[in-house]
Amino acid sequence: MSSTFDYLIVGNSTAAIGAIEAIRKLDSTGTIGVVASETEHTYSRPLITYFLSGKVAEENVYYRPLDFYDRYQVTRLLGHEVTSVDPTNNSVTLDNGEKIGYKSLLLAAGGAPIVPPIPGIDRPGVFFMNTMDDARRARGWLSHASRAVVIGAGLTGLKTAEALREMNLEVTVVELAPRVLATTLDETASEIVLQTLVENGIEVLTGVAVTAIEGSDDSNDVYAVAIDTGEKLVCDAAFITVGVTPRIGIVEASGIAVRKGILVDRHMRTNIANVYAAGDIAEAYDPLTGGQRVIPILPNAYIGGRVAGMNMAGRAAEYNVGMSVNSVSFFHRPVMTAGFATEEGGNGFRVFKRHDPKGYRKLVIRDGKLVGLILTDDVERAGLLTGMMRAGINIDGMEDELLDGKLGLICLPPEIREERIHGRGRNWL
Amino acid sequence: MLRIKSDPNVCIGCGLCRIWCKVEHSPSKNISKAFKPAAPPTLSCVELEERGCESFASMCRHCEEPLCVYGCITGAMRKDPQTGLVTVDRSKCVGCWTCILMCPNGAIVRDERNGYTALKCDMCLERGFPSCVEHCPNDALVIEEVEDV
Ligand SMILES: Cc1cc2nc3c(=O)[nH]c(=O)nc-3n(C[C@H](O)[C@H](O)[C@H](O)COP(=O)(O)OP(=O)(O)OC[C@H]3O[C@@H](n4cnc5c(N)ncnc54)[C@H](O)[C@@H]3O)c2cc1C
Repeated sequence: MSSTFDYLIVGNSTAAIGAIEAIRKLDSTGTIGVVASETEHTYSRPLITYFLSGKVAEENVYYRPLDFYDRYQVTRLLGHEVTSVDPTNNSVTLDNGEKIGYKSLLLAAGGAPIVPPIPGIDRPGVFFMNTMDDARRARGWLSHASRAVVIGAGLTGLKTAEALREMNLEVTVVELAPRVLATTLDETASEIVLQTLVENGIEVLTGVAVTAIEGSDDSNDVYAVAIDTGEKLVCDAAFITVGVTPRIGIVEASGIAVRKGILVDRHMRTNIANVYAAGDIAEAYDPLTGGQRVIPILPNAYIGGRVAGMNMAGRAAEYNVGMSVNSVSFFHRPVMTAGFATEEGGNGFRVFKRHDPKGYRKLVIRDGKLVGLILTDDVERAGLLTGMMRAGINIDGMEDELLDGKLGLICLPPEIREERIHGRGRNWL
Repeated sequence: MLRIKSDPNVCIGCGLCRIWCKVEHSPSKNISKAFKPAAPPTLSCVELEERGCESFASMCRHCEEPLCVYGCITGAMRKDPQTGLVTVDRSKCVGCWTCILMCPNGAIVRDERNGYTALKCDMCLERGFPSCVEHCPNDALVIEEVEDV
């Protein structure tokens, strides 16, 4: 074994940083090692489309200051992939065969982009949008491109389309589902987002499948995206953004339990006592469903990483706030969702909606408690609502007040209100 | 460490806290200029909560476990390890508003006056002492010393 760390972390992104910051609060001397496939300084993955368009400069894509690893005394092993984990010998193996030992291990290797079986997907000019490197390579290519097709209308696809449009490319988004952001938004909110995209000059084709990515007679480079209507969308760049899937391959045959992601308990611990997982790779507790779920969003990666780090450093902490939340803007129109946002009533859910020039508001209620929401445009103080969701406050009779957005801490039951205005905000973990 | 304490029992709902917060977070920082018709819109990091005859001011608690910081997608929102204050680096913020969705106190506002960035109580760092506290006529807002970050 070439080296052994008290804390070994696989991954150098949000969940890893959350863990490092938690560990160093509790343990100033234990050795921390970070292994990651990417060579970059830790960066914000959601900002890669902003980097692509040039809106955010490289130094502002970094998630933490450049002296972060020194200040937190972290040894970096970057540019190495972990290929397997051996819990019996407390070690991981790297792609160059090297073994690294650990006292406790955090698996925070995130999700890998799904590669759909489309003929021609490896042509020059076809890109994924998952890493800084993807964005850098696409940026170089786009300097001589004018038309792009984005395959997949999820969050990454639409943020990519927005960036491309801001670069003055002609952009078409192609989506298999009948609407954009189909898994996160209901029909009304999806339509609002669609209108925003269209108003800003993006063409969106829903309910169509891509059949091939074609080259031209004289070049192997992407020339068109063929769809199942028989049409060919001529373009000089194509982006594949059809989702990510947890990188569970790294624990294959290790005895670490997986389902869709690496299964962890409320301490972010796997079935092996000194092995933890957090972030997009993990299948962790979802307070709203009561079960374990992969929820690949940045806030949960940080909080999950933080909870794991605390437990690794010996302070018991629980992951109870990992519900799904998403806030995103398209061309400066804010759209927020939380929890069971797409429910339409029935199955024990009651739904309240208001759609007017101020925006769209939807509340989903179960057993008197707020369990889901969608907000567009008017998003002021939205966290009061997620705060109510997290605290499980009974909102019977308050529905209209909440729909009107006339909401304040003053509406909360006295003891919770007292905690919010005078408490120290330490009760979340 | 210093924090603002809000006392509902003596708040008379005058709203001066908001006025002075708006002044402090205006480009001029001058009350006779900040509200002029030609001045940019004003923004307050203090909310005045009112229902019936009850009222109190609320603002950022600079939480020990700050969900806004944990949710921040860029690293712009941070908790200072020395002072415990939660502040936004506006040069890094891209206006995704995840912090607004995360903050259980509803204490972060959208500032669209010059780009799109989050704005929140910074305890009037530049000014040296929180303006809302200084101008509260009834001591409904006071400064308290708390331990820990
Ligand atoms: C374009 C885009 C926009 C997004 N926008 C938002 C948003 O607005 N809001 C939001 O909440 N979320 C957003 N997300 C999702 C968010 O980026 C992720 O939830 C978050 O980055 C997950 O963090 P993580 O630490 O789990 O892992 P990741 O960020 O996926 O990082 C994985 C780390 O593991 C390393 N690694 C991978 N495989 C190996 C291996 N085999 N060995 C060693 N190291 C390995 C990588 O190099 C990397 O350091 C977006 C994602 C993308 C791509």
